Amino acid sequence: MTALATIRDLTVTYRRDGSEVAALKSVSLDIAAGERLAIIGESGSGKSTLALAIAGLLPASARIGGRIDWFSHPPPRLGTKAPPSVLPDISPARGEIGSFADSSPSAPLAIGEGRDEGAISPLAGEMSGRTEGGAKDRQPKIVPLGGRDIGFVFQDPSASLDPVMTIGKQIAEVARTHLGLTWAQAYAKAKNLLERVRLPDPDSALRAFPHQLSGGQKQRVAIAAAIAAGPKLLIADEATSALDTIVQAEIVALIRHLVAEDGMTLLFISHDIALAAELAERIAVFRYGQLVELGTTAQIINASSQAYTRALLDAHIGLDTKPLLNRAELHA
Amino acid sequence: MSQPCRFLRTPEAVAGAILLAALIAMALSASLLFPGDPQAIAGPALLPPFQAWSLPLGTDRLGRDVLAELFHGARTSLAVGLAAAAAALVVGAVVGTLAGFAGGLVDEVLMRITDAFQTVPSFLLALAFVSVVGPSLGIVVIAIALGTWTGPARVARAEVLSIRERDYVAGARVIGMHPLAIAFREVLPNALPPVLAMSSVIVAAAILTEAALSFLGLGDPNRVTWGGMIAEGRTVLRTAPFLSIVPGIALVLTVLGVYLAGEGIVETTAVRRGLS
Amino acid sequence: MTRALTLLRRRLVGSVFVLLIVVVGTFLLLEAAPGDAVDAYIVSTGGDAGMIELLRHRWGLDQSELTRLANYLWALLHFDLGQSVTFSRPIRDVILERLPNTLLLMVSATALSFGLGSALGIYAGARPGSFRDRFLSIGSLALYAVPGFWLGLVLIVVFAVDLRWLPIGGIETLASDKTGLDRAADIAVHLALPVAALGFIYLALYLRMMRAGMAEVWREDFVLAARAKGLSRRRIVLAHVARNALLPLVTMLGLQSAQMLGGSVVIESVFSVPGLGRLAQEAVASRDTPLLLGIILTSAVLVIVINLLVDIAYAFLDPRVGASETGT
Repeated sequence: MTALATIRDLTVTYRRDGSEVAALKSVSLDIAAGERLAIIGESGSGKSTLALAIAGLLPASARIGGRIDWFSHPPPRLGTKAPPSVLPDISPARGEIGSFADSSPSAPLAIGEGRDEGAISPLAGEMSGRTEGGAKDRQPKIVPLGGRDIGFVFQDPSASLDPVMTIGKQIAEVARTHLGLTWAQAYAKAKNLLERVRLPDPDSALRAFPHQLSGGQKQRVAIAAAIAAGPKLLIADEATSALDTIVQAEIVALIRHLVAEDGMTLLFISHDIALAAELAERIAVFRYGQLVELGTTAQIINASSQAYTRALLDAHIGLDTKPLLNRAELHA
Repeated sequence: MSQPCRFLRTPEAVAGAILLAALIAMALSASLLFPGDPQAIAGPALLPPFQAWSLPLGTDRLGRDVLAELFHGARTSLAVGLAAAAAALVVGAVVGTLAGFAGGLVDEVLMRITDAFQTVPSFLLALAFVSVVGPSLGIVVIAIALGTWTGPARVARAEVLSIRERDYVAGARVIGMHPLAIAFREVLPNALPPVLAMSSVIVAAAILTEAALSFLGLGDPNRVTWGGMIAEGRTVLRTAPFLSIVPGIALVLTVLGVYLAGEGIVETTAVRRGLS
Repeated sequence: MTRALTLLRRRLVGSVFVLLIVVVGTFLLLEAAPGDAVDAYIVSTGGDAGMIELLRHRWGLDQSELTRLANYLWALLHFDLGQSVTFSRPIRDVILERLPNTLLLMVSATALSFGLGSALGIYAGARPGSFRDRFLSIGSLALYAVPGFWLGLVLIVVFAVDLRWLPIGGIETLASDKTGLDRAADIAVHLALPVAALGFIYLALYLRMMRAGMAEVWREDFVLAARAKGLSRRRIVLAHVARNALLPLVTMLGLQSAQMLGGSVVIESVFSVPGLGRLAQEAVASRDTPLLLGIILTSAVLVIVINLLVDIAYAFLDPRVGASETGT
């Protein structure tokens, strides 16, 4: 397995009102390139914190220990084996796959270094991260940049879209920032992306404002913006939790489809283990900021070694007696 | 951390408190330190400051002791500021509670009246009122309150609108409390905090408005006012600009003190709503 | 477009009602004055009892309050504000003469305070808690504490008396025959200090509002999303944070107009600008109650019009206003 990122002993502590809350405790995890990994946990398990830490979006008041190392890869060739999708490949036009940073050697990189012109909020400033293990490497680094390398989809699309900006612009600005396009080109790409996320009437959608769309439509827009610059990692943080069940299933299918098409690595955060099981190849179970169990979906679902995981699974048996997942569809 | 402790940890709040304390000290000690009529002639006219020990800030156009006037002026500013703000807050809270609680036609009428008061520039209204009735301390207080009660009224009404649907109000209704009693014994006390949060701004505005009225000659002629001092100094602006500048500095420091201390109090007493 | 029109219609109806209250209220207030216009007139010009009665009758002051109120309202419908005692001219004419000067002063001061205030507020709000943020915060608070008329005097002392860069007062050089651009430049020079005095106070207000607004918007999810998208800091600050924080400021513009109109009374007085504010002071000094009533009415109308315009502008800036769900 070629690793996209390796996480070693990651510890994140928030400071609130003078007391410290440990959100993540010594988490070690590998993310394989091109895989679909689900992070499962209940509230307070630290799963969102993990997502934010990977994406470099933690607030400045968070203290970070451990390291996350990133590795570059040559772009996957088209036609490489993609998992058989349950949905037909409808989209005719394929967006360009963004350029990867394959020029530099696999240089491990510690968190805490950001680009100067990069998107650092005033809150972050310099993250007060401490890396264990001494000196940081000073080689040419691959710094995963939000938008270009990592696409992030948030839970509540009503809150994660700017209410006073057209959705066309909110997608186009990503393309423009990272791909160096003109506004006209960026808008064209935005329209193309809206088609890919199956939003009806992309032309008028470009000029629409978020409040004019439904929840599911807004989330499609958010996904379009997240993949606009062709990132190689897509993080979906509870991306379906705020949506109705039927819409949920559509969005999950959409994500699965896009990830396969563009050869992205998917990090799917959720509290819903059933949903994750449909989508992911590997599942990581978290509880109280610690990694409880990690394994392939089949292992976790069928032969979990942890009582907690089994408890989560049991809680999911609902009124329908159909099996939790279609095991025939699972691929090892 | 206790509230006084938190207040003391904010440098701005402490600075404000110091300024306010100085102002109050000035006002209270005015008669002590400068007995007699501050408007009496105390020395030669237009004596520059720092020339004579007995007249540390010099004298004005008519030979009055500037420092004495400054101290006595503090009384007027403080008295008018606090009284006008109190009046505005009380009237505003009452009107707002009535409107919010009664609803319907009463609400409509009261709100239109509030609109009318907000549409006329408050200073013009104060001007008209004082000129009609005649300048005296009490009239100035009423005139200022006339222009500023609308803010608290709206805030109070908004609070009451949200409070009146709550359980303890329904409970009071069930036991048969008279609506007015409910409005003023149950609802109003709970609607007060955001209204009181406005108090420092209102006091500050009242002090500034009083100064402006005095500057235009509409203050109480029997009292020393900082605005009046500035107006007097205007006639000799070229030769003794100091006479207009000093009272202005006193005003700035006073208002600044009110803002800082007020904001400090609001910050420390505010209920923390969730974590940022 | 229909959205704006329905808004307009509803507001106009409400405004007429409010204006009615203003008229009646102010009329009754001014009626409470001991003595009336005739008394004031007699004081300055002299006259005997017979003359007083004659004037009272001529000016309709011997009729009952209600009758006079009714007459006044009727006259208002014809845009007749009555006759000014001081100027012996129709009040409407006097007001219309002075109004442009005040408008010029107000618009310029608003442009200064809103423009510069928001810009500085954005500058401070771009980095909350930084040194420049705290500096501008304290600085603006101090500025907000300054009385406008005193600031005007200080500016006069510094710029007109000591440095002699700018004139002391008035709106243009008297008895000069300047026209066109020359005249405009002359007026601009004369208005520089009054605009500065009036504008700086409210500049502090907009600065603080923008700063506070931005601090709140920074906490919103869509700002985190913008960071996640890897947008440049500049774009996040301007296109997302400031753009959203701007909205409450626009609303404030409307509310401030009433205050600024009041502030212009003192500023025009300090700088001898022949505007509406100064006219009010003159009316008070000469107890010309009809004139004062007319000025108050005009101010109220102005405030209503400005608020209306501001609301329309706001509707353009915030797409959520009055919108109905068009999506499914």
